[in-house]
Amino acid sequence: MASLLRPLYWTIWASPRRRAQKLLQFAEVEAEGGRDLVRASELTVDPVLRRLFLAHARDEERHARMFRSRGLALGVGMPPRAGNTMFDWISPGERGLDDLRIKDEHLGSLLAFIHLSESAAARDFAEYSSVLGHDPLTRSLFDHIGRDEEHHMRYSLAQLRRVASGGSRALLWKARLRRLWKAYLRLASAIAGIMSTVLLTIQYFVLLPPFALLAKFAMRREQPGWTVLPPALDSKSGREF
Amino acid sequence: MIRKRSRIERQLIIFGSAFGTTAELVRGTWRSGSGRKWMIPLIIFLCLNGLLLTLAAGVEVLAPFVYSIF
Amino acid sequence: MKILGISAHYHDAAAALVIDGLPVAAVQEERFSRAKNDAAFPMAAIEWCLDQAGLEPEQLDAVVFYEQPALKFDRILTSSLRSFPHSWRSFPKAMKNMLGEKLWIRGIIASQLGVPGRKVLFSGHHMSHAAASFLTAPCGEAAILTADGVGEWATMTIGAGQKGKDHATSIKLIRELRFPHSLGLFYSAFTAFLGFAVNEGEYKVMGLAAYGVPNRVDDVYQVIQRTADGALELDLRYFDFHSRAETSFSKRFTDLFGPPRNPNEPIDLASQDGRRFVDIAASAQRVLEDILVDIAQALHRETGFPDLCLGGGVALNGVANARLLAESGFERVSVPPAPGDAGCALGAALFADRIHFGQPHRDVPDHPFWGPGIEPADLLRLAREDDIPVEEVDEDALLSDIADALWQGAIVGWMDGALEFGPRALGHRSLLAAPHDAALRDRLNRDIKYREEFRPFAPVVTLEHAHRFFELAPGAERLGRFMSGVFPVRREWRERLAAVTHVDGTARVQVLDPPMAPRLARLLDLYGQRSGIPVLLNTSFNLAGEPIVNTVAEGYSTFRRSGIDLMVAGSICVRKGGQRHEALSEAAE
Repeated sequence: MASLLRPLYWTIWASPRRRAQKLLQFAEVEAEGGRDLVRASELTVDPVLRRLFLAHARDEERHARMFRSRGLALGVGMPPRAGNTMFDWISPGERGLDDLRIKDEHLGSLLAFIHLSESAAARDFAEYSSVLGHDPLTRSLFDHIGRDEEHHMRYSLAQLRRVASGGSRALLWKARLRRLWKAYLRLASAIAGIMSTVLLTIQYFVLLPPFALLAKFAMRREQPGWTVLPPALDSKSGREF
Repeated sequence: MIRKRSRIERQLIIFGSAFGTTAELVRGTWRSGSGRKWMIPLIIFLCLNGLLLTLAAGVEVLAPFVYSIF
Repeated sequence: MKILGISAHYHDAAAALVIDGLPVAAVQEERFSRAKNDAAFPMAAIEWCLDQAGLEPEQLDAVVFYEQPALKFDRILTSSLRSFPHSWRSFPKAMKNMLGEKLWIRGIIASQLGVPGRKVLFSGHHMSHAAASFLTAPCGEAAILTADGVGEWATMTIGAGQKGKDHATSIKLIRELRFPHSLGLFYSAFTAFLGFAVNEGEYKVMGLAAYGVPNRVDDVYQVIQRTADGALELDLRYFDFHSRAETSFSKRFTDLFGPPRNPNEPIDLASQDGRRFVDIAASAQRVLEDILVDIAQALHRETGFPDLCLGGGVALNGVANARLLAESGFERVSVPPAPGDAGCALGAALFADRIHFGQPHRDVPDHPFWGPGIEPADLLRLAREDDIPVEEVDEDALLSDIADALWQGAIVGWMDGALEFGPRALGHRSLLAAPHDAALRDRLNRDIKYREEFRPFAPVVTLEHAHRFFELAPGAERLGRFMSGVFPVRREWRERLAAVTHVDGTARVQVLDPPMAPRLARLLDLYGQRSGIPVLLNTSFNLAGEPIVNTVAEGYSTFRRSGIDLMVAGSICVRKGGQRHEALSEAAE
């Protein structure tokens, strides 16, 4: 699968502008992941995990700074881009903890999630590095961060085995299924987002024009400035309108 | 302690109360004195869209589609 | 009566509980979810408020939402129609937003809390702002001015309020300015133009303005004009917010003011572009102030009241507030600790109590500490588990030690009692430092707050000493109570208060009335005995991008991750000795 996507990755990472934008996005995701881990460290009662989560969070914050600094260096003089493109989900960065509700997570499932998330990131970053021969600085950034992600994979797995003892495999499978579910949610949301935009845009152009005409006429009657509120305004009503 | 309700239960409650909200919106537009009574058919149409989708969103597998559509 | 107020879904969601006319709890959702400015339905905040009072949702007499969603839908739909066909991109987004969730608030509240729909009430957005400001202010009658981006239709209202012990409390909104003409959205457009996040970066524009010269005022008056009746009107050709969701200003705006700032690039004051940005910030700020002062002067003439209560996000502009106090004719200007949308949760609950149900007025305690308290023992446990020096010390020795540490240049994380409601840390979740050393300010920016160097830090000083260091106009103590006014630092003290004096010689000073935060007041005295200056730098206890800390565990993790030297929670104190950050391999041992 990875080799099939290689030409696509190459295309995505070829343009300095897109490279800059993606690195800045990765910086945000890493920072977000760092905050999730800080939250996990604040909530856990296990002192070893608290220290590990904090150290991991610091790594993520450092990665965020590195991605950001490289992204800014690549993007000097380029105007910022608004909105997302298709390439954003074809070539993801680390997905943080997949919008996990840290507070509601069992320690074992949280560690399983971290392990899988870091594995995926390490794999992806290795792929990106392989198509970045033309940009040694960005390539070495991915190599460096990729190595960190491997450390994160290892510690999370070791801790998962400690915390869940015999149940770690089951937790990993459960986490894989949940990641699949979340992937479905992302895909479904993306498709539905497109469908809804198309449907509402059709409604907009088919249904709205006569109403828009009336609204524009009505607007002309309105005076600028203050609107005096009637003394009998029913401010006590508690109604929705 | 607030009792947690299932998604379908919550969506049914929202669906049930949405008629009242739509009625209040229509009544408000009618009485507002802003001269925009002609908006009422459009408001009803859009609210009906919203109502149907609110009901459909109770089914979890469909929820991402439904929530994103509206 | 037991009334729950809720604000949600736009920015900074919150819940507040009022029982028998008095607040018992109020807190923003972000303090629990740890997502800054969290706008989600504030379930955790609601649960905490109810737990605090030992209530079940069924025992509530009413749940009040802070605005009228159906009226808001009317405005959004009407605006889409008016700007047809330019609104074709924003229409799908707006409809998804409203019809997917935000229109059905009655149902959402009923389904989440299990209360019957008939118990769910609604207060107008600006009425909630007005109530949050007037009903918590220590005055019997006052003029009221609210201004923000937009609520339902209103973007600004003026009115008057009277409190009665005999069921006669009233808030009368006399006039309103309607969308799209908005002082808040005007300022937000400049915020976006200057490369800051709308609804979050407005105070950065205010800070930046001090570096500039207001030499573009005439240009700014091209985009915002005064109307014959004393209100204002935006020239919509310069704005895009009414037809597009992504941008606030149009091409015509950039033709007038030049290209917008790239948010990723720092502002270089030595460059031509840097000068342009700060001058534009100064000009927009000047126009905002001039318009507010003019409207307030007219309101003073109309009502004749000595007090003005301000509400809405615009009331967070401390520079404008100080000018209002100095020039509007009002003797006192009151701004609540949470004048923005979060504060509307409390405003809506008080509105329902006093106005909707007609309950007699009761004076609301004049402090911002309505959130969760702390468990100092947690700090003892956490630090011991991590082998960090920790001590439990008696009050006198503790405060004395901290004063010594501050005098020696330490940055102190300070947690004491209940959490503040609103965006400001007012002495219960603060980072404290000596105010004299600009290098310390830079360290705070670099190692802890990670923020732009043009943003000033605020000082805190007790009421007794405030006039010695700051030029406080009559009535400024009221504005300074919740850090809502910016005032000049006396010239002779500016050098010795370098860390808290902005480039224009001003400071957003907190004037502390000792009974409000007695431990902090004692610490100020002890610090004053050592330094001769009983003033401290006071900034919120959080890192960049994070909400103010709530629990001791959050304070501790902030302490561990940053350059804070010492942290205090109640009588427990931890110090950073020679520890350095652990790498992963060390942490596992």
